[in-house]
Amino acid sequence: MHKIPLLITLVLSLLGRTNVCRGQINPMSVSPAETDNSVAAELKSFQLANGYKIELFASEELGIADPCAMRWDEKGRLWVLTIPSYPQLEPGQKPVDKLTILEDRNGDGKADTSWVFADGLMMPLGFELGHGGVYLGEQTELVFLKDTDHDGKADTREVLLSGFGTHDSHQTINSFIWSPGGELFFSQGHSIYSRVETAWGIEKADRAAIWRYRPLRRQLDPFLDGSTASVNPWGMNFGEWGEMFHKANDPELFYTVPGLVKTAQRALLPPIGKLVIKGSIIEIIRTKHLPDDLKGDFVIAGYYNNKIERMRVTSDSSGYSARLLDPILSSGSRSFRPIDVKVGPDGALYVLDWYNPIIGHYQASMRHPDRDKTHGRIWRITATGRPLVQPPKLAGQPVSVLLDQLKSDEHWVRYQAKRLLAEKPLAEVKPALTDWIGKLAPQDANYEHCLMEVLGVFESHELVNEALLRQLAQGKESGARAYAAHVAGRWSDRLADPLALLEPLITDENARVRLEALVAVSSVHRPEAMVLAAQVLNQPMDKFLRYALNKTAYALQEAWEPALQTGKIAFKKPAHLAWLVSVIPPSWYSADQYRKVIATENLSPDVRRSLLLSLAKTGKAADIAFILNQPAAQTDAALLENLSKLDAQPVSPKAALSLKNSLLPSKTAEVNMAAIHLVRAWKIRSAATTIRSLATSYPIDQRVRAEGLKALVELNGRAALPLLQKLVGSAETPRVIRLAALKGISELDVTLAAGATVREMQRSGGSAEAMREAITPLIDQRSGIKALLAELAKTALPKPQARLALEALATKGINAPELSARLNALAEERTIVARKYSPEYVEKLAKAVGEQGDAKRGELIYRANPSCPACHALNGQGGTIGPNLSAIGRGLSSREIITEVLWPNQNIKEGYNRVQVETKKGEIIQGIKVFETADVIHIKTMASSKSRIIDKKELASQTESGSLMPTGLMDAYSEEDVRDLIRYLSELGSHEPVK
Amino acid sequence: MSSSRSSGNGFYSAARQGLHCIVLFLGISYSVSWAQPRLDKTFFNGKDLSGWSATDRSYWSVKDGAIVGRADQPVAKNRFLWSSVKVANFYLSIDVKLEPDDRNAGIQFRSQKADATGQALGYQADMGRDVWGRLYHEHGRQKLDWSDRGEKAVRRGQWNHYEILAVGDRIWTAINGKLAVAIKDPGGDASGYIALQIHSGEPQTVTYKINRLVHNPNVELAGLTESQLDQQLKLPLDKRQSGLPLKLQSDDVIAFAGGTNIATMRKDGILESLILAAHPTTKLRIWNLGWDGDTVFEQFRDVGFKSWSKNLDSLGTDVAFVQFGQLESLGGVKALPQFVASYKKRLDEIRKTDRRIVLLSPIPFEPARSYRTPEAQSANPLTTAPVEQYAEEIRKLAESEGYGFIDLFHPLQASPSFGSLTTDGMHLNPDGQRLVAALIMKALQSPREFSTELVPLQKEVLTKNVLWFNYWRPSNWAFLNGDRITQPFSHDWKDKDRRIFPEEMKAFEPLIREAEQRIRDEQSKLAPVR
Repeated sequence: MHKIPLLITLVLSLLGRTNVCRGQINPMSVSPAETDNSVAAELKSFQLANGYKIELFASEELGIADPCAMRWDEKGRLWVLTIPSYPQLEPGQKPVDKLTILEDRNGDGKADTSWVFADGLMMPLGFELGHGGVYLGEQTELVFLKDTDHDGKADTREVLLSGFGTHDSHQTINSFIWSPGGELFFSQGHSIYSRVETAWGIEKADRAAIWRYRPLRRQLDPFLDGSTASVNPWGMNFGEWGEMFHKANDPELFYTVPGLVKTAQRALLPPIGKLVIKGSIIEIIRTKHLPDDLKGDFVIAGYYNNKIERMRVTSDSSGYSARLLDPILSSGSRSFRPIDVKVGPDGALYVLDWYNPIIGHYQASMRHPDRDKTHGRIWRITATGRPLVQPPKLAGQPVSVLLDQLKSDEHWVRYQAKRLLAEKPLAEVKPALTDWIGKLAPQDANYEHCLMEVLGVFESHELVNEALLRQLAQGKESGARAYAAHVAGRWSDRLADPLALLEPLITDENARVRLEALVAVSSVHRPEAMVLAAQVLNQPMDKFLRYALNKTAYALQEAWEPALQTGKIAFKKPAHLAWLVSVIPPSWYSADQYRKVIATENLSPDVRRSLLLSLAKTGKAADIAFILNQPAAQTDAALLENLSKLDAQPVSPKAALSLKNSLLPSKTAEVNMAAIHLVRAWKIRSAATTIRSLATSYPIDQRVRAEGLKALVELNGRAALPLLQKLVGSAETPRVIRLAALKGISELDVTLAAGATVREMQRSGGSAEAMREAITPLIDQRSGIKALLAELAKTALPKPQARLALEALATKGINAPELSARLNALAEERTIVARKYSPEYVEKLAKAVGEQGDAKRGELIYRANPSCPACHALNGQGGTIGPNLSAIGRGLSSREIITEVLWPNQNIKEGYNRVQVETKKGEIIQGIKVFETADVIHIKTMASSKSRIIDKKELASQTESGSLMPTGLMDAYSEEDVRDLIRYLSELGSHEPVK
Repeated sequence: MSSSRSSGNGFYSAARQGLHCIVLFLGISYSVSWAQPRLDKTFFNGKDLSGWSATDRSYWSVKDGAIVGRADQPVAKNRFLWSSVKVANFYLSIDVKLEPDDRNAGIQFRSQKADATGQALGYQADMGRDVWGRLYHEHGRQKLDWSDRGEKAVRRGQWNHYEILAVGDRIWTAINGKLAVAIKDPGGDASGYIALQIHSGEPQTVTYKINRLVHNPNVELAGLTESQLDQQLKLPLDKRQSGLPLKLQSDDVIAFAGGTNIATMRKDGILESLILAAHPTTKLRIWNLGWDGDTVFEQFRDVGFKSWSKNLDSLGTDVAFVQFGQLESLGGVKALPQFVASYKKRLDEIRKTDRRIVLLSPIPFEPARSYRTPEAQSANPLTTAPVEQYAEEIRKLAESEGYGFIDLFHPLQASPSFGSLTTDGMHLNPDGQRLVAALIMKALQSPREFSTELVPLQKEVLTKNVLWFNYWRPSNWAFLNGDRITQPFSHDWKDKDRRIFPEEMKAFEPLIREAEQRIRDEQSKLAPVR
């Protein structure tokens, strides 16, 4: 820290105080963002990739204010939902939200006519057309609006479902889309809790989730709730063979299919790729009009950083992976907020622009005057030099004509045709379908794709066509087989023998077919379904298959577990049973049963380990001896580690002897350490002497020695103090061992430890990192800070060490004002300015940031301060425990950044609340809560990239409050430094980082 | 008959208190007033019967400072001498002598006159052979506490010292210093009058020597402290409370609770309009607390949203219509015992002195309406759900626990429109709502059906209901009072310490009051012209 001013002076003198033009940056997104809100000004802000042209399609002039979603109808009219009542209706006011229809009657590529289809709506966030009307998500309800007298306005309103949560009005049900089989998908966000009464029971989804609604059956199913696949899903789409994807409102993109297993069990779905910063919606480019290079790419609405993003999605075993390409469009206007992207009937890319300097919900006051309620735009991006598509006539066409459109290369045409076919009377559709299939030529390249599309028409009518399904299940195209597997799942309650149909597919040569078959099997609630599902293990597994198989085991648990208990289930291979009971150990399984399963040949190490662990939990001394006596167990560090996490089990002298094999110096350090952990956790005192000799033996790996010392503390208590003090006191002791001894002393006696810590601090003049290591054992202990403070009152610390200690405290994220004050005094730092929050101060500083802020100087301050990158990522570098700062300036104004930096407890970003736990042994762990179950809590700490998983049984207390970011990080900085740092941060994401 | 509930709040403050509590959680101010004990000097003057009345005064006289009830001939009907002093929380000390000693008499308290002949309805501290020291509920629920420990303390044919202590829903009596009755009777009579009895039968003389009546007494009796007395409490043998028909009084707060079918009532206001129209001159406040997916097992509410029972409390609910069992019935017969136990528990949470609770049965499912086309028919559990058994168990629960019960299941099933009363096989459509409303009105003995005459009233009801919903269950709860209240969203954009969202929500309160006033204006237009 002391180096900063020097460094800055140096660099600045090198650069000279050149005032570089910083471009058109308005640092305030919560006051008038753009002085010129005209269409022309916004057009000027666009930077388009080569080969494209952008024009206005519609704006506020046609009544588009605060648009949030758009959908096409078969006539090429664009329906737009506008929600000026958002974010919160004022008391006593009538809601003014609307569904407006835009039409380009003269075909010049601009909407010229608009009328209101439905008025007086209350903050609806999404809709889709279908069944001759509109499905609309409006607060707690999914409603169906219809214009029965054909005057262009809705005149009936039917509530289809109710009970969706409204706890946060930007996360209510949204992003409606038809699946290829005529299912309506939509999603909800992180603060939403829904309870919906259906004929199958109450369907529940807590926090973010994806919903699937089968309208004719009135069947609603939730998936991936508990925010297990993004906290705010917004935008879904289906690939050419029905592969489902969804986009988080956050950076991540997901391949949804593994998560379409219905079970209350929750697990985080791995994403397949991500943007740099937030963006929503997926449009998959499938039109001849747009450049060939763009075909198949995912286009995403980058509402946060004012871009139209582009991702390329490629196969990755049973799933996909995605990478970010250069954007199609970037804008310098902070009000350009693309929130929906759709290819239109002409093949152009239409962009719905919320046009608002304030995008978000929580970041700004609900009544902030700059929430724009009057603008809204729809932009049309075309490819220069490529002909537009002429959409066919779809409205009013007979079934046969619509069916022919299923062969179209244009996805827009197929989507509309299927939607129309789904709403035609079945009596009309049914004969035509058979007829049309009969006329298809099997030699045509897209023959199977046509079959897939027409199978979707059957599905949308809930009309089972087993013959067609079987044909597709034997298709040449893997996509055809995958889709057939999916439909077999959907129709499983109506097929004579769905499992027989799925059997060959679950062992298909193509991994994606296997995955779809697995998901399908999960809907057949019979014991044999589990037998079949387990056969996917016969071929290589990957993260998507593993995810789906685990979920399937839970989904089918009520079917297979009783069957297993009564011996009415026979797996094809012993390894299948072994896998199943390794994932869900039956509560009634006996030690003998585990031993039998463990004897299965060719078990994977994971399965074997999990079974041995389950056996250990049954807890008989003989079983523990059996486990520890296994040669494979004696070299399995992961097993020993996991055993150490169980409650202490009875260890016979014989078992203890077996364990000593793992303590031999000939074993790897990992095995030694794991065995030490086990001895320590289960308090196996007979191993204490072995461990003591390991810990004091110079040639042994230092990590092993360090762990050995910790175990001795546990086993011997204060009796270990003389040894520890001897080690700490000797300069010959390697540092790692000293630190371990320090940790031990800290656990036993903080006062003694304080003296040793200060001596260690005096030795740690090299770097903040070394200093952090020196203070951590004591600081992370109950009353440790107090003891250190007391010691520092007696013992002085050289200035450099005191400065490093301050830095170390900051990087640890510790709020310890008294200790900081003492260290500051020792360091003889500048006057400490503890800034008090006041709106006037923020205003004054914001003004200074805007007028005099120097971003270059700010960047140097940022770079020289190790506490920022310790937690925050910036352009791919730095920690991940805090929010990514790469485009913070796009999302937050300088006023807000000031508040965030100086008083981090004021507004805590979703998911960044600090959690602090204290274990029963007095260790303090703080970080971000990643995941929590009834038994464990996963905490992401600054110390490690991996989450720390803590058993709740070991906890003495758990508090969640405030931000992890310490207050007072800027206390030692001058006003000018703070000003420049804020300036730097507020420009992040606005243009290329200052080099 | 005056309202037994403290109505000093008046509409304005009561409504405000109720609404307030739901959103701002000031807690419930239902605590018993902490008034000091007050000796009633007007109760009996020791000289004559001023302040007392009876349909036939010839039985009653005052002699040697005591009230004497004397019958020289056999008595056809029970005879009562009524005091004009109303009691709620009180202590009464009397010495009493029965001649001959095998006759029967008693002291009514917190009672009402049941009819013109002066018969009593309410608690009676009983005396006489085989009934000494027992608690009877005259003309009503009958035996409440029937233990014989009072009897054991009696000195037959001599003076016996009888004490009665009633505080809130707790009632104790003692004979000759020994505890006799100790019951907790939530939902029982909270206040009323004292009357002295001569039982029907052979000639007798009863002498009541009144020592003292104390209002708001200290809780101590028979040498026992309050906590010792509390330890003795049990629920009464007969837990029934005032059943149907309900007598709705001015200022009554009526709440509806249940799942989607209840929640949907707020959107058509039919039942509400009918209830208001049936009581055109009575000021009623009606709140719909229906919440989609509520069952006896779970009433999901977000962080900061008080529980289901607390919501009923904070509104000051006097009458609660509760409907559960619809979705629960999908769990089948095997889940029935668990359902009944949970339902009982839920109701125990809201059981309160003077709160009337009416259970509505679930409606029969219409499985054929659960899918839109024949092809979409599925094996959903509506066909097999044992709704009728659930309805029957709810009826039994209501009977044994003393709640009102309205059967919607059988009348709906028998209706010619059955099969077209729901939108989706489980949720009532407007026809279904109208039919259910009519059935409930019939059970309340105010038969009435919806007619165009009620449309202006219904319009105001709907306006109020929209305001109520947006106030009670507003969007953005997470920011208003949930887990995101520290975010800038609910704060002023300049003064970040000021939370404008809760302030803004307060603006609903006058709007709701105005809407209620308009309801009353429409309601009064329906009053019969004199």
